[in-house]
Order: sequence, then structure tokens, then C-alpha cells
Amino acid sequence: MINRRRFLSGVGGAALALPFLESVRFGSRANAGSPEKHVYSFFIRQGNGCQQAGYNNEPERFWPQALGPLTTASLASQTDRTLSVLADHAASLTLVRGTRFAFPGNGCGHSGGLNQVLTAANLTGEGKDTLATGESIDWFISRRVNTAGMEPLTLMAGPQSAYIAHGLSYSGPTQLRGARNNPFAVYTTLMGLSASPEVLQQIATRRKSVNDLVREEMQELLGNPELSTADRTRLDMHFQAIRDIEVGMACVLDDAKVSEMKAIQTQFEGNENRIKVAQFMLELTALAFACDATRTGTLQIGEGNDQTRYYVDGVLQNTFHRISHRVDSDGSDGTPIPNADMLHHKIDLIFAGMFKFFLDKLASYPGPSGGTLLDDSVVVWTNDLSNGPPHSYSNVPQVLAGGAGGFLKTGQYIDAGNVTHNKLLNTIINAVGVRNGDGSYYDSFGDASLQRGVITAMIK
Amino acid sequence: MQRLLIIATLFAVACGNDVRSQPPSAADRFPRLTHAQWEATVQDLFHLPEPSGLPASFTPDPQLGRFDNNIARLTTSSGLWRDYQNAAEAIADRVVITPQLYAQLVPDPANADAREFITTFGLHAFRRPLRDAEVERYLELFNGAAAVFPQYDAFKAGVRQTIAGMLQAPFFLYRTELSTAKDGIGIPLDNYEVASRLSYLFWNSMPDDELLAAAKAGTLLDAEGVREQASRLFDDPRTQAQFRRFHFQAFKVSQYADLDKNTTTFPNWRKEVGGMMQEEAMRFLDNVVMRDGGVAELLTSTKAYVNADLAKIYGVRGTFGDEYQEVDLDPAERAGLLTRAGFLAKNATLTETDPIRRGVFINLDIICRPISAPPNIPDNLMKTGNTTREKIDSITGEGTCGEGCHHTIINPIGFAFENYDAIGQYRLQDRGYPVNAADQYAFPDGREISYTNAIDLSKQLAVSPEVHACYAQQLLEFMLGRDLQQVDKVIVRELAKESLEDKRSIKEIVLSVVTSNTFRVRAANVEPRSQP
Repeated sequence: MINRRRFLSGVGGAALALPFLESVRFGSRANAGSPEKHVYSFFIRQGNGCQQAGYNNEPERFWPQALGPLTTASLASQTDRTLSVLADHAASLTLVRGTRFAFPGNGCGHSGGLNQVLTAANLTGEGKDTLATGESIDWFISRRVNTAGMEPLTLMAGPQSAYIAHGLSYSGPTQLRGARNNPFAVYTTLMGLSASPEVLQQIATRRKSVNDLVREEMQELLGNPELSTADRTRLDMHFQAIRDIEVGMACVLDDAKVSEMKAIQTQFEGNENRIKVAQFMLELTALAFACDATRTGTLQIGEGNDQTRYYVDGVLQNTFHRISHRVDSDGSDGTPIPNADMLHHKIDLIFAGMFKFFLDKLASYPGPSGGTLLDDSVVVWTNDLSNGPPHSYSNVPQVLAGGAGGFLKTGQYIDAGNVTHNKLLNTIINAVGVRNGDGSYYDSFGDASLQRGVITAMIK
Repeated sequence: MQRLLIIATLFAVACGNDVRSQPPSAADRFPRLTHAQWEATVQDLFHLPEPSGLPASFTPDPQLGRFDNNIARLTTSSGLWRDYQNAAEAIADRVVITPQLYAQLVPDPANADAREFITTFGLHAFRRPLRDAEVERYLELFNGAAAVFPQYDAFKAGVRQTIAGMLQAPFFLYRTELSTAKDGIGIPLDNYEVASRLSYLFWNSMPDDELLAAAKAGTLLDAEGVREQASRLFDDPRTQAQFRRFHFQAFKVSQYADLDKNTTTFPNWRKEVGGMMQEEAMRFLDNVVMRDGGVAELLTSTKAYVNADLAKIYGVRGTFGDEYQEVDLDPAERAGLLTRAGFLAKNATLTETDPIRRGVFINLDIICRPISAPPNIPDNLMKTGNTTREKIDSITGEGTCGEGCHHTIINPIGFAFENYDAIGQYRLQDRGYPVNAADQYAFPDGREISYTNAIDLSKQLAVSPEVHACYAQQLLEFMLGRDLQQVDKVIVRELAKESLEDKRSIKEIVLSVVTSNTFRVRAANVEPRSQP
């Protein structure tokens, strides 16, 4: 899953390992320009919208009271607002209201939103089986900032199989990726080998001789004149995946944490472990970035229409999806759930807490530019809907943190002005260092029909 | 004798109008092993006492297509390639350091021969004999191993490296179908390719020695030879797990386990009951298949497998504990899968029935009637009426904007199940008013049925061609591991006819498929045709 290469010694419980074989190569397959520094990016998806003003006279409980600069003190004082939870990180935040999804859902708002949120692509298929017609931003970024063979982390806290399961990450048009949802398994792929240089050399040699043989076999198969396009594509993807790199990098967490992950090895899909799994995943992501095992990724929390039953004030609630509909039904019609808007707000607070947890972790590691890892990152807490019952695609919550090595103008809450959200994604792509060939801002992610551009107010 | 049989079969194929004479469809040729298949194959290949557990950490496949063996899911990313590399090395290490496992592969170390090891192990790992050039290639790998495995003797090093190599080879990871010799209708799969199709169909694993021997003897090129082996495989206990896998996905049984109900409204509910409903449904389905039942039995049988909790829900008298006992349910209250607690409780809310969901599921998954996705639903619909049926009718019935889909297609089916509450208990009243479960439904071809309740509806569904075709379609999709194509509609129709008119069992239908051209022959054209 992951290529391990560089290492920051002695930090955050990580241990030393040996740099080995390959050297850094940026944007080897990029058609846009190559970034010159490492900026880490990550995308966390909450489902079912957030509780914000705009439906049925429900009060505003999400965004801060006023646009403009953010300070820890001002944000902390707005205790009736979800985002006040992030007050400690006020200086690192870029809160963006006023972005919308461009394409209507094909009969299922959740699926339509989920498939657009990181792709800004049009949709194909109907209802819950909708797919995106373009790659998602994590893959776009990965192809430009990761070294060859390094993939984005594709993570999920929730069940692998569901009415709408994972739908966030696309390696290409309709090429939905599977998401890892077992934290211990993710950890084992991050964890490298530790051995003497001689032994590492032996391992590399063994692997190379097997790889050479397998390549020869794959080439024979690919040489078959009667392959269908699908067969050829599938085999070629495998062929391209074979690499002679990656020996001897260690990304290590302390034993107690690893035992905790191991302890839920068979229950990681269960409702009771949803938040725990999400936090493990975020912790692993911070570790992976600290070790430079990958530089981008995604985390989907809950199914497409998050059916998790969260605990609010210590009480197990109805499913989040039903709370977001305000009725005891997965449709629009059913017995009203008392105080559902407040429950929705309190679930938003849980997500804000998880995001804060992630920011705390990133801030605890040093970053390549000398500050914290958070300073060298841009991480996003987004949603595939904007609010509860209307399942609206307008004013989707976009909560960004991290300065992206100084690119983003942080510490502010802005209104993008009801623009399509591809402009936000374009801005993030620039934040990780990708530019057009002529050096101008990259401005064309997502569906070709969308208006191009970035959100200049986000940029320093 | 066998020769006579073959001739008789060929004659039947030539003259008959049965499914075996249909042309094959173009299909992709290299399905990758699913993670479950990888696990079972490795366990069989090395005779491991337990599954290795390694696929639990493989990069998961995305949820594309109806079944987990759909070829659209089975791609190999660099993450999964890496997982395969790690797993291959882990297994290879384990085999050479575990004396019992090593002895199975190298019974006589003193006289061991590398070429012989590669040939024998390769036959099982690749599920076909290795070509000479392949043997040479692996010999080279074997012989180079001693230098990079100083911890093992030279032979052991070679075994370690050969295993690691073969488990990463495309011929292990994919079910490669390489035959190219055309005959009239397409390209018949060769003996070993048929053997693999059969073993992965019935066991989700590699062929056993008997199947490999049949392939070697060349008996898998004709329908009778295939039928003989398929019958043997079907009767093996491992097949039951595979049909469980099919039904589990086809009927979405996985969703039963995670249900939640209001315990005040339903004193018979506790959290564990959802899992019991799942187990009950699976036992019911297993037994229909394994006792040579057919599609009709799935919808009409009153056999049930209940423990103390489920007995209360079904109102079965007697003494029950944690064990599941076979009982006959009251035929006036229950008929087949759709009147079982799991389906009914899954398609219900915390306290109330959900006729719309029940109706949608049966249309989509029992009748295979597509329903367009709902339009944006207006807010604040005002419901009126006393019962759930009346309330739903008031917002989706005649004269409402839901009339098109709900009034004619979804609701009439869903309302038939109003005799079962949100945990599947039988009831005659809803909120103190008598239940009305009678309705009528028109199939897409215009044929109308009317029924008094769910028992009546289930019995009529059990003799409806659409239902038999729907089951056949899903079964075929699972058996072939891909979406069906236009040309496959012919065999689906034939299978449905066998199922309905000839009252063939599910086992017989499966055997019809495996002896058909659809299963044994691939189309000669390169590009798969477009979807139906």
C-alpha cells in the first residue's frame, strides 16, 4: 500500500530506519508543473450535511458569527457554534463558505454528493449506484507529488459493504477505489523492516529477481493479441504496479497504541468502534506523513449516508442519517425525532472534535520546513451535503487547516461567493505545489464544463 | 460406456433446444482471485490447518457490481501488489520454517530435485501444467536463491524463492484463460481452464487432485464430463458455503445483523436478534439448495430454523434454547423468505413497517424490475389516515406525484406485508385498525395478479416467470463473476423456463449452466458487447 523512504528520526514515537535505493522524484508523470517542496494534503468526509442555518428556521450553529480574521479568543467565545471546537488552531484555519457542487444528484443526494465532493466531476449511473466520471483530487495530487508507486491513503471508518459504501476516492473515471477500514492492517503496511544494510540488500535482490520474472510473465500475457480493452487495462495496471523499491523504512507507533488497534481487529466495522477507528486512521495518517510514506489521502467516516448511531451526551442515538432527515425513517416521511436539529449539531461537534484531534497530531510532528507538520499541510474536513433534510449542494461546509508551507492565507473565515467547489479543489492543488506548465495557477481540475479558476481570497 | 454417453450428449446438444446450445458471450478473460479466493487457495495449496489471515489486511476491493466476485472490482493497484508481495513472502517463509508444511512439498529432502519440485508445485499453484520454458524460468529463480538466503540450505532457499515467485505470478493471481483454438461457436476453454472455473464456482478455491486428474485425462471438454465433476463438487460440503455467499449477497442478508428496534414497542427484541435473523435466513436458504429445492420453495416453504428468541417472534410453541431447531411455521402466516423476520425487520423502522422499502426490494431483487431513482421529494408532505397503509397512500397513492412509481409498482407489493410488524411478528391490526394486505400488481408485460395477503402474493410470485428469470439472472451473474450481456438473456430465459415449467431444483439449474456454452466456451470476438 505504501512506499516508505524518508524518515524523521526520534519524533512522535517513530524509530530510525535506513534510507534505501531510490531518490526523490517529483511529478515524474505530471502534465502540470512539478512542486518544489512537500506539502501534505488530506481530505476527511463527513456525511449527511451539517446543522447550519437555511432549513426550516433552524438556527445557525455551524459557522462563526462573522466573516473575517479568526483568533483563538474570538472563536473560543462562540460556544454555540460547531467550529469553536477548533479555536486552539484558529491561526491555521481557512473556513470557506459559499462553495457548491455543480451537478445535481441522479436520484440520490448522498451518492451524488459523495461522488462529486473530491472529483468535481459529473456523474454517471443512477441512485445509490452513481459513479464519478473523473479522478478524485487525492489521486490527482498523488500522481504529481508522490514518488512512483506511492499511493494515496484511502481510508474509511465504517463497513466495507453497505447500501452506499465507500465512494470518495477515484483513481480515474468510474475507477472507484477500495478503502482500508482496519487500522491495524493499515499500520502493518506502514511499518517497515529494520535490518542491517547487508540483509536489506539481500531482500532487495530477492525481490528484484521475482519482480523480473513476474514482469516477463505479465509481458507475455499483455502480448496476447486477443485481449479485450478491459483485460489489457487490468493487466497493465498490475504490470505498472510492480516496483523494485521500498526496502527499509520504519514508521512505528508505540506498542500500547498498536495493541489498541489490534484489540479491535475483528470489530473495526462495528458501530461502537466508529469514532475510535476514525481516530486511529487520523493518527496513522499523521504518522504516514511524518515518515513521508505518502503525501495525500482520504478518510470517509460512515457509509455513503452515514448510518452510524453516535452517542450524544452519553446516549446512543438513532442513526445519523435519520437524524439528518429529522424523522425516524430513511426517507422524508416518518415520525419526527425530537430535537433532531440539536442532535445533528452535537454530531457535528463530534466531527469537529475528531478534526481537532487530527490537527493536534499534525502539530505534534515537526514538518520539513522547520515548523510543525501542520504548517506544511493542507487538510480538509468536508461534507457531501451541506445540510440536513434538503440535502442541499449549496454552501457545503469546507473547513481547511494548515498553511501549506505558507501558500494559504490562514486564520480567516471567507465567503467564496457561491462558486462551484472545483475552484476550492484547484486552490488546494496549487497549495501542494502543482502549477500549470507556464507557471500560472493550476485551474482546471474536475469536469471540463466548469468555470476555471482558484479562490484568490484563500491565497496569501 | 463413457463413450456412448458422450455421443448421446453431443446428439442432445446438436438437436436439443436446451441451454447448452446457446452461443457464448464475449467476456474478459483474466479475473483476479478475490481476497476470499486467495485465502482459500493458499490454504488448499499448502494444506494449512487454518486460513492464513493475511487477506484481512489486503487493500479492499471497491463495491462495484452486485457480487464480490464481479470482475469490475478485481483490479491490482500498487497497494495491492505490495500486499501480494508481502503475503507471498510471509507464506513462503512459513512453509520453509514449518517442518510439517515443508515435508508436504519436499517429502524426501535427501533426494529432492528442483525441476521435479517446480513441476509438481507449479501444477497446483498455476492450476495447469507448466510449459517447458516456464520450468526453466523458475529453475533459474530457484538456483539463484541460495545466494540471497544464507540462512537456509540451498534447496530450501530455492523452495522459498519459488513459492514467493509463483504466488506473485499472474498465473496464480488470475484465472487466466489462454486457449485460442476456435471451433464453430467460439473458443472452448481447455480442460484445466474448465477445472478452475468449476472449483472456483463451487468451492471458491483451486481444483482438487481429482479435478486436476479429470483435466489431465481430458474429460472436461464435453458436457457430460463437466456434469459428472460438477455433481461431485456440488455434493461436497464446501459448496454450501459458496451458495451461502451467493444468497447472502443476492438477498442482502448482511443488513439483517445490524438492526435496531424500539424495545418498548417490541419486548421480544434485543440487540442480538438481528444476527439470529440473519443466521435463520441463511439456514433456510442453505436447506432449500442442499435438499434439491427450487426457486418456488424459496418463496413458499414453511420450514424454519428457530431458537428461543425467534420462536417468540414467530409465535412457535415449544421449548427452545440457543440452538436452532427445524420447525414448520403456520402456513396461514408464513410462506418463504419474504415472510421471514429478517427481511421484514430489515425493511422497517424502529417501530413501524416500511412498505415502500419492502416493495422496492421485491421489485428490484425478486422480480428484477428496475425502478427509477426517486425525484427530489417535496418537504412537509401531509399524511392522513389511520394505518401505515393509509398514511403512505395519502402521500404516494393515486392522484399524488408518487402515483407513477408508488401507486402501481412499489406500494401494492409492500402493502401485502402489512400483516408483519417492524420485527416480523404476525399481526391482524395496525394501530387498532384491521390490516388490509390485499392488492393487485401488474408485471411489466401487463399481466395482472391480485392477492389477499403476503402468503397469497408469495405463492403467486413463486409461479411467475419474472421471478424465476430474476433468480436465474442473479445466479448466472454470480457464477460468471461479471455483469450479464445482451446475449446472456437467451440462457437466462431458458434457465427460467427450466426452473418454472420443469420445476428443476437450484442444483439442476446450476448444472445446466456449467454444461452450457456460456460457461465452457468463450466468444471469439475480442471486445465484450455492450450491456443490456
